[in-house]
Amino acid sequence: MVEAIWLVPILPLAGFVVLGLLGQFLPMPRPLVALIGCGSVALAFVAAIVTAVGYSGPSASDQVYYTWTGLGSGGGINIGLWVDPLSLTMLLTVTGVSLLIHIYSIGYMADDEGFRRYFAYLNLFVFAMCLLAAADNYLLLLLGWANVGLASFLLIGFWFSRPRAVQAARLAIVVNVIGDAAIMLAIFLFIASFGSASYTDLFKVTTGNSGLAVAATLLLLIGAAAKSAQLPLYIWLPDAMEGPTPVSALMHAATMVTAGVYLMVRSAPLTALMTGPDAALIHNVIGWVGAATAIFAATIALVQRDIKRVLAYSTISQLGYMFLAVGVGANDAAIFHLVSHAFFKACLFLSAGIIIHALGDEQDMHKMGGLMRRMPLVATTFAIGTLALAAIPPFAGFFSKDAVLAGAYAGGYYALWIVGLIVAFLTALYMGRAFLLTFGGQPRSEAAAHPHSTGLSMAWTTAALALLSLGGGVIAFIFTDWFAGFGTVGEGIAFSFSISSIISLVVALAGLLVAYLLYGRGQTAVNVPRWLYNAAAQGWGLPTLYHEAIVVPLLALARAIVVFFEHGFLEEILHEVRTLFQQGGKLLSRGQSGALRNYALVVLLGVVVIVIYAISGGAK
Amino acid sequence: MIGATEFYLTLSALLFAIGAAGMLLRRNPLVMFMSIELMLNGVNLAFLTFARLWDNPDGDIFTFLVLTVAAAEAVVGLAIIIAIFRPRQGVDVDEIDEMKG
Repeated sequence: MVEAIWLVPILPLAGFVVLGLLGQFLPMPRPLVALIGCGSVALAFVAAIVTAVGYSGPSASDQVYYTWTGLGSGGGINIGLWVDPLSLTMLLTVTGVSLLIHIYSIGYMADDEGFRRYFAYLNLFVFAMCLLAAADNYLLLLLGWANVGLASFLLIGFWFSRPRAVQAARLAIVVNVIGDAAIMLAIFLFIASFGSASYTDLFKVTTGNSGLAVAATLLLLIGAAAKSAQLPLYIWLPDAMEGPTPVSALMHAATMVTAGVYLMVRSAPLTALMTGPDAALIHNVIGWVGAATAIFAATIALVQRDIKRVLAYSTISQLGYMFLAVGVGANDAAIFHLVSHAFFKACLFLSAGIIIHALGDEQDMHKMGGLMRRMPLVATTFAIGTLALAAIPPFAGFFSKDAVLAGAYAGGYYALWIVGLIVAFLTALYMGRAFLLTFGGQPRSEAAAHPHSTGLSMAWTTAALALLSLGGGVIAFIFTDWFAGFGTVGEGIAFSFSISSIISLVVALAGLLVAYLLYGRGQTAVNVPRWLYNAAAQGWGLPTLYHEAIVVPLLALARAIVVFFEHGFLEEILHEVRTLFQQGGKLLSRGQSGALRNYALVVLLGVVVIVIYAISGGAK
Repeated sequence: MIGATEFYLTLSALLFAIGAAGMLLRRNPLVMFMSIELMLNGVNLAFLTFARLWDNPDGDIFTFLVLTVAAAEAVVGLAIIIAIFRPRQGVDVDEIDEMKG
C-alpha cells in the first residue's frame, strides 16, 4: 500500500511532539518515554515495510498532499512524498537501524537525566531523515536536510555541560549550514532556470546540457560533502563523537552522514542528461573527492587511540568509497555499500558503546586489551563488524565494497580503482589494529581487567546488527531489480568473481595479516618515524590549516571590529550624544529652582513681554 | 480732568501692579494668595470698564467666570498650603524647594 508512506515521517514527528513539547508539562515515567520513543519508530518501520510491499515498480509514485503554487513558473512546489526503490531503500534502512539503536539507547541512557530530551531529539532526527529521503522535490528535501543538521547539533551537544561537546556541536552546525546554503543556491538555480524544483520536472530531457545544470550539480555536491563529511568539509565528524555513542552509531555513522550519498544518487539523472565533457567533469569531480577523502581518512584512522575516533575516520573513509562509486557511475554499488555500511558500522559503534559503558567511559584503546575472554559476546559482534568492514567474505561489506571496486574497474576509472584498493588495504589494517588493541593481549588498565556487565537491550540489538552485517549482502540478490534502477556500470552489483574481486580480497587479507604481525602479540605501538605519526594524528595539518586560514582571520576581523568600530567609533559617537543631552539637561535644570517666587517672576516677565508686544501693534 | 474710563483703568492697573509686587516680594503664602486675588480683581475691573465702554456684556460674563475660578483656585490652593506647611510648622515659601531640578 503505497499510500501508507506519509505515516513514515509523521509517526516519529508525533513522537517528537509528544516527548518534546507535551513532556515539558506532563510528568513522564521513563518506561513511557521509552515506549513512545521506540514505538513511534517501530510503527514507522512497519509503515515503511507496508509501503515497500505495496510498491510495484519500476516507475516512481508521487504522493502529492498539497501544492504550494507560490514558487516557480511550472506547477509550483509540492508537499509530496516520492515512492521509488531509492527512497524505499533509504526509508527501510533508516527506520530499521534507528529502531535497533532506539532500543539499545534505553539501556545506554538508563541513568541519564536527559532521558526524555534524548528520545525527543532522536525522534526529531528520524522524522527529518525520513522527510529527506522521501521528499519529492529539492525544497522539501532541504527541509529534512536542515532539520537533520539541527538534530545532529542538538545530539552532539547533548551533554551541554561539557565544553568540548558544545564546541563540537557548534562546529558541526557551522559546517552543515555551509552545505545547506549550497543546496539552497542550487534550488534557486533550478527555479530560476527551469521553473521548478521537483524531481518530475527536473529529470527531463529539457534540463539536460546546460551550464546551469552543471553549476547546480556542483552546488549539490558541496551540500553533500558537508553532510557526508567529505574533503574539504570533513572536519566536523571526528569531533561529533562527543555525543552519546548510540547517536554516533545512528547519525554519525549509519544514517545521517549517508544523506550526501543519497543526494548524489538522487541527482544522478541530472548528470545522466548531460553529454560529453560536462558529464565527465561531474563524474571525475565526485569520484576524486570520494577517493581523496577515503585515503585521507584511512591514514588518519591508523593512528587514532580513541576507539570512537577510529570508527569516525573509518566512516569518513567509507563515505568516500560511496562517493567514489557515484563518481564512476556505479550508483547501485554506492547505495548497496551505504546499506551494508549502515549495518556493520552501527554494529561496530554499538559494540564500542558497550565496551565504553563497561569500562566506565574509557575510550582509549591503549587502556583496553584482553577483553576477548572478559566480554566474549562483544568480541564476537565487534569481530563480525571488523571483518565486514575489512571486506572479508561472506560478510556484507565484502559484496558491497567489491561492487564499488568492480564498478570502478568496469567503468575504466583505473586510477580510482587503485586508490580504492589502497584504501581497502588500509581499512583492513586499521580495523585489525583496533580489534587487536581492544580485545587482544592482556588488560592494560584496572577498568579493562574488570568490566561491568551489560544490559540485555544493548546486547541483543548489537547482536541483531551483527547478524545483518553477517548476512546483509543478500539484499543485493533479493532486490536486484531495485538496485539496477539506480544506474549501474558493467554487470552491476550482482556478484561474480572478477579479477577485481580477487585482487580486493587478497589486499584485504594482506591488511589483516599486517595488522596481526604488528599488533598480534599485545604491542600498542609500532616503530614509525615520529614526525609521520604526528602528521597523521593531526589530520595531515588540515585542521591547523583551517584554524590558521579561517578561524584566526575571522577572530582577528571580529577583534578589529570591536576595537575600531565598537570602541573607536560607535561608542565615541554614543558618548558624545550622551554628553550633549547631559550638559543640556544640566543647563535647563538650573531654571527649575523650585522657588515659587522665581516662577512667578518669570510668568510676570512673560506677561510684560506679551503686553509690550500687543501695545507695539505686533498682534494685528 | 480725567474721564471715568481712564480713572477705572488706572485703578485697575494699580491694583494689578500692587498684586504683582506683593506676589513677588512677600514670602508668606497666604499674603501671596491675597496678592493674586488683588491681581484678579484688577483684571476684573478692566473687564467691567471695557464692557461698559463698548456696551458689550462679554466683559461682564468674563468677570463672573474669573470670580468662580478664583474661588475654586482658592479652595485648592489653601488645601495645598495646609498640606505642605502642616508638617513643617513654618510658612516661608523660600524654604520650599523640593522640586529643584
